[in-house]
Amino acid sequence: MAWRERIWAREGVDDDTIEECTQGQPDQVIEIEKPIVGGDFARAGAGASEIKRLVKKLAVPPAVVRRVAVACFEGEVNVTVYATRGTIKARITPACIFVVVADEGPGIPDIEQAMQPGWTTATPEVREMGFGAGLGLPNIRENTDYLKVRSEVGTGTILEFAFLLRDI
Amino acid sequence: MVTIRDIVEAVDAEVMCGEDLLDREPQCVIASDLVSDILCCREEGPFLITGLAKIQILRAADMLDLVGICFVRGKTPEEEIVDSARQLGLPVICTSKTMYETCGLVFKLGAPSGVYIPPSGAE
Ligand SMILES: Nc1ncnc2c1ncn2[C@@H]1O[C@H](COP(=O)(O)OP(=O)(O)OP(=O)(O)O)[C@@H](O)[C@H]1O
Ligand SMILES: [Mg+2]
Repeated sequence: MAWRERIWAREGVDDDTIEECTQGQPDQVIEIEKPIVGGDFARAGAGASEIKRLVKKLAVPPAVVRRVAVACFEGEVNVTVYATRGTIKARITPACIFVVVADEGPGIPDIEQAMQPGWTTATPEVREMGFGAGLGLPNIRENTDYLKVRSEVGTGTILEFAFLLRDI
Repeated sequence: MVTIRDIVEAVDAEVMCGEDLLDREPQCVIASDLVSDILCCREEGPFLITGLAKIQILRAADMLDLVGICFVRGKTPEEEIVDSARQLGLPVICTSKTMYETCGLVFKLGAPSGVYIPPSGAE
């Protein structure tokens, strides 16, 4: 098996933009990392909630706070639902909010297909909790300025996404 | 403008928590039983009508800064859900009416529908 990768980015945004805007003097950078436990549905979204509160405190515009909250939540829920364990990590610099959601899990065999609105492999148990619309990944893409999905079947999945705080 | 108090009266709801917040005026109203569907709302200050009385809904409420929730079809939320709502400063109301009837009554009050932008697929 091999790692597969797909990137979606707003016009004018690429890997270099992200590399650049995630830099910053140590006193200008805030990092937060939270574990995610596979199957722990009651706590799904707890990490996203903390990141949201932190971002809100930093006087980020409300519309951006909502985009960050929604994307982090959908990433975290997917790890809870589909993977064994993982982490959600946010790095906040003056130029951007950069989030990494990484898991050990089954991986995504077909990233393009997973990105289609409505595509889901959610079980009836998962649907009973209100998940399984097949909208999580496409909504992450919709809310972010940059999204990289990397996955290897049998190993896990890594989502990296960013919200730019300045015009580029 | 429509207040949550108006909604309580229109759908004959029981107030579970947030009695002091019923004068809030929802900017828009959304109705869904699916968490990810709810998270497609792109507007500030939505009020949610839902038949899913699960803790997962409260997480979604937190992410979107909902101004209030109405549980329909006589679903009574567990104490854990009401507690979380209290912590979030979120009024929770319950009605025995169906989703359809509740939405109809709230729509008739004149509360605006939330803008829903479904995400597009990968190109
Ligand atoms: N971290 C992951 N590990 C393994 N598979 C994943 C992961 N994230 C998503 N998938 C796969 O991609 C599919 C689509 O994910 P997406 O988040 O868009 O929808 P969903 O989780 O099925 O439903 P919703 O997010 O609307 O509740 C999932 O059903 C699952 O098969
Ligand atoms: Mg999902």
